[in-house]
Amino acid sequence: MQTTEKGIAKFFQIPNQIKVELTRFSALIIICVVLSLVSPHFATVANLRNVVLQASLLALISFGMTFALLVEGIDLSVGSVIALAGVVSASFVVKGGTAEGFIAGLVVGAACGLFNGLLIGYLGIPPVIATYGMLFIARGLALQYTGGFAIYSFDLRFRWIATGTLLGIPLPIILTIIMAVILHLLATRTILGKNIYAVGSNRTAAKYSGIKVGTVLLLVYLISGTLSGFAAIVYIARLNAAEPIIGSLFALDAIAATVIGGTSFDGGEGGPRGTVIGALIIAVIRNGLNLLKVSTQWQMFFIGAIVLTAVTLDLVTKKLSMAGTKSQSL
Amino acid sequence: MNRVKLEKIPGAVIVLVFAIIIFSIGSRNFLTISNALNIIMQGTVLLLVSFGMGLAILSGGVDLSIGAVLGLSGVIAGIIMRAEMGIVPAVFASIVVATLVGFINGFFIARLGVPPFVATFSTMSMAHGMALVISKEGSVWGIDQRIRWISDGYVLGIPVPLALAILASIVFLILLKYTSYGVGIYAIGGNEEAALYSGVPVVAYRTIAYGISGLITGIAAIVLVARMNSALPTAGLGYEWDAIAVAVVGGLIFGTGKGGVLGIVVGAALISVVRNGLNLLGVGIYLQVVVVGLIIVLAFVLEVLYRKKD
Repeated sequence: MQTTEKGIAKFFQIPNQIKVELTRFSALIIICVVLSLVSPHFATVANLRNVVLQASLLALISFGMTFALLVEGIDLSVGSVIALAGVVSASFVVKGGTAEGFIAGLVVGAACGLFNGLLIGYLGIPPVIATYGMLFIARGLALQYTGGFAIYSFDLRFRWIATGTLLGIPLPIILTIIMAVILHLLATRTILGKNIYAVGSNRTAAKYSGIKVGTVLLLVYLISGTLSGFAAIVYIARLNAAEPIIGSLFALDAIAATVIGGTSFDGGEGGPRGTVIGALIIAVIRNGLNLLKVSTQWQMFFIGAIVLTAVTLDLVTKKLSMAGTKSQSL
Repeated sequence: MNRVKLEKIPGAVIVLVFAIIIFSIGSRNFLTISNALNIIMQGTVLLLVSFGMGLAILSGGVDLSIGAVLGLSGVIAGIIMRAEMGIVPAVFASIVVATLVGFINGFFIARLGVPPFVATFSTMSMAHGMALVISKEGSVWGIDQRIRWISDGYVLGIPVPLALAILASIVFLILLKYTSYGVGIYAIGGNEEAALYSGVPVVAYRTIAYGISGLITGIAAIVLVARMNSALPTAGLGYEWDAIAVAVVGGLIFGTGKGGVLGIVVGAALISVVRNGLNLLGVGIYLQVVVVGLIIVLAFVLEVLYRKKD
């Protein structure tokens, strides 16, 4: 008896974030079990490999959003920035400049992020407005840049980043894991990471304890933009085409993956590790909807509904747990 | 505070006058009666949804679902008219659906505390998905031709869209200035906690704000269908953005509970004139988007600098 009590006590000592992640992970397992019962095509090696690949691409576009949410912000421009960085990068790659293409993609992404960051961090423009503005500006520029057409067919050397494998594992998966580890370390082991969580949980307190809030915000959106540039390169390499219209739903997907992964809208809670789980959940659900032959339009509907439900549940459980601690302290 | 308001609106008016002068020089077709009617026709839809967006912003939020709801309501109205079930049921259904989405937004935002942009971004994707499903991804043709009166007709010698715009402006002016609801909304936008303690029913008022935003979007959807003579599920996309532009240019600042009907009217005129003028100058639709984006950012930057000066 005593050991179980100890065990329970220990469970409650586990940091909140890990508890949240464990719950989400169990949810992921449950969805997987249900899907493998419903569809015989789900639990096959080929399908699961595909799901993990989709999840890794989704995680890649969601990491930036995760950091934005950590500082109580948002980055609605992800999809458009990926489109813009993608077409600019592609225009170099088709001329044979693979390295230039890489650099151009990252630079364009970083520039968009920098613009967002300056507006948000130093001019005090609300993140929704600044990044929603960027959503249209980047999309407009991408369409203007290509005249509305796609740029396609890259050389194999460039495409290797998305089509190659290492030890039998598709390269995008490995890239995403590396990126997740780097970002996790950035969030947990660096001063910038600590400052990000400080700004996210209490901006005023962070300001008075000497943190340069504006700079932290600027860096967060810069990181988000640069990650979008990186994601753009992987995406166009995978699609073998850069379309100025891709990514119109990326922001919603990224919000979904981030929020379902346990990063809260109130800032200062969660992190890239949870987002990986969130991306896996979304990818599995998407895959399940595909296997059950649900059309993309309905999927759009469902993902919206899932985001709304996840955020609402997050708020409700938080209210309940706050009520719980109150009664305990009494 | 009053001083800010008084100086703010002439700013937008000056930009409007400048824009008109520049476009008149740039294009021979700009300063004509037919083009003026054109601007009014296009501007009415924008003005209507901007009132909805304005109300959401005044209450301290934002409504990103406007564009998708325009499409959804329009498609529903179009399908009902195509089935020859009559204009009245079509208009009614359009308004009811849009209002319903508005109240759903309001419920999640005001009652459950979901951040406004998350709630409305989610309903945006849901409404857009629904619109595509219902319309089978194409435009709905064969609508009742009598509905075109709303965009082409005249009432008392005034074009119907203009009459609608004037009517909506008067209604919103009364709502915001002379009702306890309007006073309450300004109070919520200015300081939610203070409003709550002084007895304003914050949750109910805020829910109603999104409901009204939906309602006016449903009306705007009918005007849009009448103007385009068809219902396209994607017809409204981007209107939420123009509406934000209108609100920002018109002096409605997020989280301050300031601004009013006059600002929205001037803002809508400015954005419509800029869009129309850029069209006439042959500026591509893609660059127009960039220009509108830059106008918003510029308006914000000016506002922030202005506040700092104070």
